Amino acid sequence: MTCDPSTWRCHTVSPPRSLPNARLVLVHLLVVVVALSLSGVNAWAQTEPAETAYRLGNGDKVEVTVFGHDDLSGEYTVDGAGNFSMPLIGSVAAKDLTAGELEGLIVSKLKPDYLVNPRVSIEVLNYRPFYILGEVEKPGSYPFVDGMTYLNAVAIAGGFTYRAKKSHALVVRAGGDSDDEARVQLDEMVEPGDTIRIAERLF
Amino acid sequence: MRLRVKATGICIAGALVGAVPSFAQTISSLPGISNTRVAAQPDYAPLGIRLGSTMLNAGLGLGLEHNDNIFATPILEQEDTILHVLPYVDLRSDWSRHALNLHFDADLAKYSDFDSEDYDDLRFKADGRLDVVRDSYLFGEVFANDLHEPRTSSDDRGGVEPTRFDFDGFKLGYNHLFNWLLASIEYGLRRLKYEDVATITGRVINNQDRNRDETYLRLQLGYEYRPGYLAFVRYIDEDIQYDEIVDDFGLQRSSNGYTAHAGVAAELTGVLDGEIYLGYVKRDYDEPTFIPTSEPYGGLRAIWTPTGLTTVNARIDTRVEETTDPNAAGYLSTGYHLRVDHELKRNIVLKADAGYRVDDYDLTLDATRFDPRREDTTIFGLGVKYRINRNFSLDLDYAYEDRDSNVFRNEYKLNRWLLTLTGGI
Repeated sequence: MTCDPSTWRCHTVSPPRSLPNARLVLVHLLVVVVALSLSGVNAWAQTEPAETAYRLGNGDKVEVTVFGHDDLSGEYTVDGAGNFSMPLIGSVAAKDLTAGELEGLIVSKLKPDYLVNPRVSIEVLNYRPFYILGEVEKPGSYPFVDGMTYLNAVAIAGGFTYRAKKSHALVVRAGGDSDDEARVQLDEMVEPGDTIRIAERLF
Repeated sequence: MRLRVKATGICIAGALVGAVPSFAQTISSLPGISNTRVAAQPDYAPLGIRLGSTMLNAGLGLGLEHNDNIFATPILEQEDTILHVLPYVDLRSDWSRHALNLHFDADLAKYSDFDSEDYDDLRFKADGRLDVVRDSYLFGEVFANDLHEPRTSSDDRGGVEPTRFDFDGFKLGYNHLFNWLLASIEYGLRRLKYEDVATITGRVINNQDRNRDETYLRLQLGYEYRPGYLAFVRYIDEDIQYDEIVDDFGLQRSSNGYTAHAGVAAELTGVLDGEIYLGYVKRDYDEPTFIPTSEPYGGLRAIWTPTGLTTVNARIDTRVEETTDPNAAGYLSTGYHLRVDHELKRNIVLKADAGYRVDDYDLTLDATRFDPRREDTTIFGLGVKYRINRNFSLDLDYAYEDRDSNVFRNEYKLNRWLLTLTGGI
């Protein structure tokens, strides 16, 4: 009902002609879903601090899941060039990206040419191995385990030899130069791709 | 680690019968490798040749020595360069039960200037073990040596060439373990036979009066009263019979006696291993003018590995030695020795040793008439061993010896350098 303040006469206004109720609900629902999905992607990206997030490198194995599209989902290994290939979008440059950044990259490649609203999730299946040599019983490469210390790495490699210098380890990071050997304490964390060297003591 | 097996191998140097030929002055006793990991380095150990169920190792060493006092004289020292040829053959059984080992080595020495000093030392040994039950076994050894008496020997009489002698013998024994108790019996015979040697004047030095048989019977009991600690007692009955009743000076040198000592052997934390003992030595001589020997004595043997790369060997021992000195029945020799080996790298070992020995000839009837002969010998050595690969190694050694004596002619100082290249399979 509306009223004219000058004449103080009111009348009932007929409502405009409306859409059927089911369609209205569906539209509203779609809007809500789109809004939520967009905010969810953004929120997920913002909960992972970039400076501590793991960054992919050569040899890492990831599982890419595109919701509703099994033909696009699968396990992919980052090759020597830092890329892997997916159907439809081809080569994806994954090196030095976090899982969240890779998700965003794949989404941007799929949309809008292939999918309207792709839902992508990334899981790192296998990290790059670490390498250990020098005064350990069994030098070689071993699977990285999240949260392991250099002392753990020595234990995995069979322990120190009797000639080992046990006060510290020498490490070259993945992709680093052999001249960039850093001295680390044994309780520090190993990173995938590390080349660890246990030095020999003279006395 | 159980000590029982180790106890049977405990050195009995403190109680041995006298005049074990002193190899301290021979090429083989210059600072060398012992009790260090490098001796067991698999990457640098010769592989050997498998002959059925035995392993054969053989090789040849070439050594070049410089000695600045080859005659061990107090004055007018003579120096010379000596070439050593050092072959060896070692055959060891690889059986699960019993053992039989054969060993041969030699030192063929050629002097550059004084070829009268040339010598060929040959050593042969065969030893074996017959297992009866676990930790109980018969053991035996036969050896035959053709050796020379070094100029530094206190019995050297100044012949135109070194005195040669044969040193042969055998031993036979049985070790038995029963729970924590160890019992051992051993019988041994050693035969020494000397050759005459001429003096510069043409007179012949008669060494036949030094020929003798030395026999001993050793009894040992040990009890591991706690893990890693073994208390033991040893009794050794000794008998020395000279071929000739009297020597060139009319003295009856044959003797008999015993040594007895008790001690403790221990292995501590795998880092320190050793034994210490106290005892008593007694010796009676056929010669009525000789005073019977009755002396308390002590001994020590320790191996310490403080860092895993360094091994320290310490030893104190005492023994009664035979002598040709007409004013003494024999002499009591007490030695103190310290040796350090350090594995600098897996294929480089540094060696150092120092020793001090007192030879006390205060074993004569009328000590008031004579000033008893006494000699103090100091030794010092340094060396480095470089293992080139499995089959070749290079040793550089230096040794310094200084003997002080109240008999001037027995004093000497000498320096020896030795470079040895050894190749083996």
